Amino acid sequence: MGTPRPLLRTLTPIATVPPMTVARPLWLLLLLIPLAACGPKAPTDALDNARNAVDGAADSSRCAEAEFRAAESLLRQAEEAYENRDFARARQLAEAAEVQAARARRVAEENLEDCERVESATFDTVDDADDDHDRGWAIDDASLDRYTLGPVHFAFDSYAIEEEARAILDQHAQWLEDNADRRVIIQGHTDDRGSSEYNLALGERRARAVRTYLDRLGIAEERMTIISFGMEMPVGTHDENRRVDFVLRQ
Amino acid sequence: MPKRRTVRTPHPLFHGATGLALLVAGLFWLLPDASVDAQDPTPEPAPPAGSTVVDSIIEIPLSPTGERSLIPIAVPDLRNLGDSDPRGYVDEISARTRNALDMAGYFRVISPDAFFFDPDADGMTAATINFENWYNVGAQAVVKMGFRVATNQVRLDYRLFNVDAGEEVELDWRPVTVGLDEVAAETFRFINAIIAYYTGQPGVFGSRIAYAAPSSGGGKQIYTMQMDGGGISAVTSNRSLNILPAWGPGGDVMYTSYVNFNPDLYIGRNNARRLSTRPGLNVGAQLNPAGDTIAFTMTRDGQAEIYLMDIDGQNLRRLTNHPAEDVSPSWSPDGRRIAFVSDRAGGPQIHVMNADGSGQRRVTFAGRYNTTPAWSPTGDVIAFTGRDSRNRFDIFTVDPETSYIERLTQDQGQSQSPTWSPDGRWIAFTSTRDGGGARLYIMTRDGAYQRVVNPDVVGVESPRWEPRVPSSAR
Repeated sequence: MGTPRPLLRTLTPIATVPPMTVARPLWLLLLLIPLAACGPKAPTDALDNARNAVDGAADSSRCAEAEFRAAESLLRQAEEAYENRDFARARQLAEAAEVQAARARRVAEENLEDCERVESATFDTVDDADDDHDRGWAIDDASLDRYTLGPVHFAFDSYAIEEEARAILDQHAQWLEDNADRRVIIQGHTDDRGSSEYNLALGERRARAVRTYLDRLGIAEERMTIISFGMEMPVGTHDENRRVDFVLRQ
Repeated sequence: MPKRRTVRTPHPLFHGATGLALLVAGLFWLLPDASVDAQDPTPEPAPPAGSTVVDSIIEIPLSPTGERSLIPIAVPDLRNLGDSDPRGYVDEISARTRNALDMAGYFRVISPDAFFFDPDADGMTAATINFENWYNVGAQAVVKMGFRVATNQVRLDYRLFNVDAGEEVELDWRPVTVGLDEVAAETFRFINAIIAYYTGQPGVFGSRIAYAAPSSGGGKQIYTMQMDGGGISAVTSNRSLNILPAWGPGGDVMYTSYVNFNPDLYIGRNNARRLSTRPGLNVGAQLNPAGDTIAFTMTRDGQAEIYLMDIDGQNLRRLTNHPAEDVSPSWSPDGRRIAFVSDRAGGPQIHVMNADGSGQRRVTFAGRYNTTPAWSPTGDVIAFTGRDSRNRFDIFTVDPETSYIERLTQDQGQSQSPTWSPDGRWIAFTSTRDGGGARLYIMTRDGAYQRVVNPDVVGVESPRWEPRVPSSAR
């Protein structure tokens, strides 16, 4: 039986901004690092700005939970990078954290009315789920590193795992092996062209293909749950939308 | 300025039954039969059940189009015959009546600006109406509508008059007393009766179209809208994803909701009742015409397959068994067959099967991405969304027997997700033709006449037309 608070928390990313809105820029940032690595100076200003922005957005944690947690996570990673003297990465993460904090405030403002109404009313009906319907999706705070595993991408109307996706999945499998207490929700997505229903089936087929691949690499199937969102949660271009996302939980 | 025309008295010939018969003949002559397509090698489909019994005097083709001459009709404002109008009926009902008659495709609604006289100087009977005035604004018909509110009831006195004949037309509708909330619905029954008089088959105004659209508060919600674009009502109000609405037993809406973190099938307002909650997809429900069986798609067996269940969710039967994806079931009007989408041939294509799962065969052989089949209420064609060679989405129909395909939309944004009106005269669909997102449109079944339903509602997805017109509360 879930409790109302975690339900809200898990529902938020579904209803507003998918987790990978954060993960994608981060993933792109990783690619940019080598380009920016030549002699950057300590980004204390950027870090300060990010800290202020995240502090200032703390009020939005209730009505834009996912967005705010993402900003916090980015700031924490920026601080880690700073301590590791990876200044270029720290600056980029700090700047991303600042942008994300602003985004959290905006989403919270947009959602305020609805979020209050939902908290008071709708969740009563959601929360009456019997035990066999509670699929244990409540995500606790410890799982905020769900942004660790980046997405893999697919061709149009295809669920074939290509070379590039294989390389990413091999890394994910290694991480999951190293973090044996973690379970993962594999979310299948499509681009927003075509039939909603057919795309739901396609998204699920992508998620299933990824689960099968990870299973072959030795990740126990019980640790992996699949879900398809079809074309419902686009994050960018068609190429970026045809993806499988990973959400970690304990 | 209203245009003042030379006053002419109606020709003496245009009186009584003779006049009407001539009017009939004239109309029939003027109206090309738009349902005959020169390129169509298939025989003309049988008209829908009931339409052969023409109890109206005027016989015109069942398919309305925008290209033939339309009947000029005047609709002066709703008149308050009492002294209170607590709900603002005068504005709302006058506007919705004009809009609906305009939308019907058979009429040219004369702008009230053209009335160079005070319409309220007329009474509500033939003897007290100045037909010369209506003749001189070019009207062949005039609609007179009055109401009187008494406590919680409204007396509706609506009438249709033939201007040339100077007579009231006998409609399959009588003045009635209804509740305050039933005025719009009753007005639509009156409009449907007007359409029946001119075409032999009643209109379907008052029927609803369910659809999914993003909500301002986040997520995507299910709504219903009446055919004229009014009467919008929310079915769901959570912050989750709610998609793929369909009409279930008793006029309740079925849909898939992620509110419990799995795409589960629900029925009724605010996730009232669960119909199917197996892990994986529970989507794309459609009630059979008999109203006792739901076809839908699940992935519990490893890939998307089509199943049947009773309306209480029991007695599950699997219809398809193929490693490909099988989705989007649509019943034939006799309930004996089901159209569906399968990618067993590579890309998604329209297939049909018997209702017990036997006789599965492919129907579309053109194009590489054909989805969202909707079997017409007349049974002769299946409408679907196809992606053409330029990667645009458009609406087509296919004859399930001959696989003959006709295109209904072209070069007007992306047009998708066809759904038939209960009488088979119309197809509603989504299109991006007016920019800024997808809106709901309707078109005649030949595609000749197309128009937006409600320009203010953007982001419309997966429309489904209610399969029958709500019957009178009387």
